[in-house]
Amino acid sequence: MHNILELLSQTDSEDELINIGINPGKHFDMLAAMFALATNAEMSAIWLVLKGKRSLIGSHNTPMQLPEPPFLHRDLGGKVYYEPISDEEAAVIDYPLINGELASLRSGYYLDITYKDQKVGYVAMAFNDRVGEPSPELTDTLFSLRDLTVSVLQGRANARKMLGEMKAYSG
Amino acid sequence: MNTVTLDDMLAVATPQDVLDKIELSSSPLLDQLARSCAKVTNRPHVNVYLYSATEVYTLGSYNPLNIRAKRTIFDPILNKDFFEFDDISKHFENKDHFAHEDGEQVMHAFAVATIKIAGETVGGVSVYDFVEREPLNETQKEFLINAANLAACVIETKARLKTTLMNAFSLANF
Repeated sequence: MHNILELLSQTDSEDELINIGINPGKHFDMLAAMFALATNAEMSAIWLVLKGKRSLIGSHNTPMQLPEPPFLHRDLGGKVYYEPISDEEAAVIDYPLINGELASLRSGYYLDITYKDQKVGYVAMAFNDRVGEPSPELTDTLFSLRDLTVSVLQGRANARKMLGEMKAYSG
Repeated sequence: MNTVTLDDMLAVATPQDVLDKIELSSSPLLDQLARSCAKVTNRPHVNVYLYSATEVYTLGSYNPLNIRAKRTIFDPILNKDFFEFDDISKHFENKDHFAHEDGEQVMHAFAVATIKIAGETVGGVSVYDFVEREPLNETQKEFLINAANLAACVIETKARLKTTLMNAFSLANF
């Protein structure tokens, strides 16, 4: 019988999350909605990127079958990264919305998600317009929501760990 | 077993499970949720709380006040998803429940999104101020309702998990 906590203590956080398994769920959809509502973004999404494999775990106003976006920001420097999209690019890049329409969005905000001090994913918010760099107040709000996202992620991971241990104990 | 989700593995939570099983003390996660609500709604005080039959337990807060009110005073708003007022005397007879700890200031701007478990209201996320404020806009309201729904998910999962673990370990003792 494995002692799952002992096993996990020997792995890095990416391994831990991969071993435990984090499923998409309404928790993360609600968090994505809160990011969108806080910024008035047209759509938002939360991805985990574990060992280079990306998985969409939560989204707002965009389908779960969201195609891989045309960027891969793995190091955002701990900041809210603002990316304007030119009219030429916006005309080419179509983002799917939940109602089936395609939107040509013109800017985005991105934040890293860290788990045990290691980057494990990111949040993206996309806008119809070029909204500009976030204000210090909005940045603070987004960091607050990011902290909340990490806490929910840790809560889900802890719950799965406990259930895994219970299975091992009872099995 | 690999296809079974976390939620599948947990027993169904009832409102009573929540009050019986959840630790009725402050949660860092719900403190973070309260802080986010303060930022987005631009209100200085936030409380995330559960009601028992007679008491109100604060589980998360930002710049909180000690809500001394009993559950019964929330009866007028328990069946709503969201409720907001700018003058408490229109809705509540006893304004003392909404007084500042200094005993003089009374809440002017108060909005609550209710926390529901299995369709039953068990608590709320309240944002408030002691000075007159413009009502929350639609986006802020929607944010607060989302925050209450997330709080419900978190609280329900904790209650389910505790129920499941307690059942499993008590069975293992036989």
